[in-house]
Amino acid sequence: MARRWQFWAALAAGRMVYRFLRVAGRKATTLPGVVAMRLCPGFLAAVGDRFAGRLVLITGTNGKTTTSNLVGTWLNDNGWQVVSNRLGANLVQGIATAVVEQLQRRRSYLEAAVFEVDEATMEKVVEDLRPGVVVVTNFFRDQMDRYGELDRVVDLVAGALARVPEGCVCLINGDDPVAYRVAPQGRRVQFYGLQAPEWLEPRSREVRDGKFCGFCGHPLSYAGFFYGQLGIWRCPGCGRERPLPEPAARHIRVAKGGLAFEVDGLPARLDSPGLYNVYNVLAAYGAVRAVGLSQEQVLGAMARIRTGLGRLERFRLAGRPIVLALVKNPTGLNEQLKVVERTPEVTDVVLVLNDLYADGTDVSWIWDADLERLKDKGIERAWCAGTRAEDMAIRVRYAEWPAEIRVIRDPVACVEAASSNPSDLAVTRGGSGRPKGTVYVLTTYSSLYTLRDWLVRRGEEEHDDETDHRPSVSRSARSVQ
Amino acid sequence: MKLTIGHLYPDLLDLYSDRGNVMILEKRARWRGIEVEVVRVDAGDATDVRGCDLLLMGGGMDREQSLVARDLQHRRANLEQAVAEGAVVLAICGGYQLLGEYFETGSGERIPGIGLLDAYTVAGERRMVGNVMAECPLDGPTETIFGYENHSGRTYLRAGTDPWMRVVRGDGNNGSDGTEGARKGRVFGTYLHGPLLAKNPRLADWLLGLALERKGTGGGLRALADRWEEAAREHLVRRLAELDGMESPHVGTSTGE
Repeated sequence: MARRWQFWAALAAGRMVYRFLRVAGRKATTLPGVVAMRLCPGFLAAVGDRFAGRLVLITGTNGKTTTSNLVGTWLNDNGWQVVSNRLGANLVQGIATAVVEQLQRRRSYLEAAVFEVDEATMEKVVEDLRPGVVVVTNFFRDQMDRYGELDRVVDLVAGALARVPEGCVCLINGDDPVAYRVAPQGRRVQFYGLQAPEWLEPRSREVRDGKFCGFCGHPLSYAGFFYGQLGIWRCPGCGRERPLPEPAARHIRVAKGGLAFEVDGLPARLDSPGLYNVYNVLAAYGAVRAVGLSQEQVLGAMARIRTGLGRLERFRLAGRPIVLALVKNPTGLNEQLKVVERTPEVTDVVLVLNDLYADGTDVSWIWDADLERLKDKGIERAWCAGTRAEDMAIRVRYAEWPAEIRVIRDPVACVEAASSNPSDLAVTRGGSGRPKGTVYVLTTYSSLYTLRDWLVRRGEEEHDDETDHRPSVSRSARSVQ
Repeated sequence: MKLTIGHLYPDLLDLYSDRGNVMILEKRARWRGIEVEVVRVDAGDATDVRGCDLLLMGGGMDREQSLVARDLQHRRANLEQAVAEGAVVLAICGGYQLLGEYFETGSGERIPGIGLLDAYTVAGERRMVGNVMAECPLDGPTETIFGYENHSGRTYLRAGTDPWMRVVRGDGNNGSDGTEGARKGRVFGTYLHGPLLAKNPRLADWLLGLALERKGTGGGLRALADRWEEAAREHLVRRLAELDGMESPHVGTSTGE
């Protein structure tokens, strides 16, 4: 660090801006970083110097926030001092702001930085930050209004990964043939994935990305799919195939409304039933091991994994179970629809569709999701909210759910109406105090935290010992190994 | 009576939710008691599209587009015959470009289309992205069409092919002449996603009617309860005015995961 004083002066100035904005009641996730970088052009490089490789970058379409929160939490649990952009501000300014906000002047023996990074931002930060670990979660079509085609996004990330320092561990989802494509030559690459033949679907009914080999262009063939284009793939053209996963998740089974599985022989338990979260756990596990935690240090945490705010989070409102989940692209929505499908007694689904910049201004993606999956689920009411609520209502109409469609623009008012609406289930059970039907709330990004805050205030979060009303997977084939 | 819909390259040209158009036409026909068969037409197969009343095509990424461009050349005569026999063709975005004469890439290379439309497309620098409102004549009153565009190719029409719509908001064919889409007889091309037919039920029914004409039952489609469609159209007019009034998004916005 040639000019340390400049870095610390920039940091101090940024921190003043941060405090000022906070006092003014603003969120302060970008401006402090902008100020710091303006005052010290080598700001990010100085951050790279400070962490000297104990720096984890997490990128990809889905799972960035959950994975980086797990990494941060596990390091924290073990006494590490961690700087991270926990609120998901994942552009350059957001990363700089996290540093401004959290970096301690005093160096700690155990410290690390964990940043989730927007796919297109990777190439702008990788050379300065010089990560010791990079995670690539997956690639799905997402917000094409901003980035254009998926191929372009993948190329950007591949270009960034080609420039990680030697010795950097690249953890890449090997079940995803698109992510496989970005693995850099001459670096330490670990492909993580599932060893779970019982979870493979022989055929995919979903709209899939990456149907063609990224190397030779030949159509890929599959022994089976986990979800989206993730699965046991092979290219008949050039012979490339899904690598043997390391780390791998094995013996995945449904347990108490969540999932239980093994990673490297360690028992793991997740509080939510989405298979995609097993990938997030694998990525986080690989990352903390690469940073320096031992198996023993994560043993306790792995047995009790919570996936975080607004990610299949459970609440209770007037005695009714409410589940809140973020959806932002077809694959994510498909995965949530599968969770709804497996959950008994869901009577109401609230779908919040917004078209703000953070959500993507194009809402046509809902037509790429397989809403037809819930046709026979017996959902009684489909509640549509958000700036494009009617677009969602049209989508549900064509999916032919035998449900009544209701539109209430305001997401909070909509969830309130959905949860206070007396469910027929309670009546048929004679109102005997049995739980009424579950309300699933699936929302795009810009309403997530508003809804969450409201639910936290109004509802009661469910506790771990209350497992009766949790979603559970009824497909017995998936409960055995 | 049976309506046959040919879905061209459902795997290769599946980029932008345009498969919704197939679902919408299929259901709107079924809801009126018309039997529907959807036929897949994949690259390399020998499907005869002359049996189809409606042919639909979406858009794909560059790699997929060039695969389709090659395959289409072998189908050209078959497609021309189908059109001559009264089939209606609707192509969106990348599919629209391939129905024209050629697509000229940034490096000057020309990817040949099949010339069902007298139009050509040239790669452009600026991406034209956003909500579109356009005016479209439907054999009578002009209908307002709502859609979403996302393309960098600029399409220009030649004599023999008419613009299908005029943009009220958005860029349309090329961002300069105010036209959107192209029409030549029963062949239609447009840049509008959404999918196109989701919020434009009258356009969907008009296309259905056109396709059913050769069965001798063109008009007289029973009205459907398009309550949400009407609500969506009404709301979107207000929403777009609201969006136009908003500042452009500031740099720091992030979606998190």
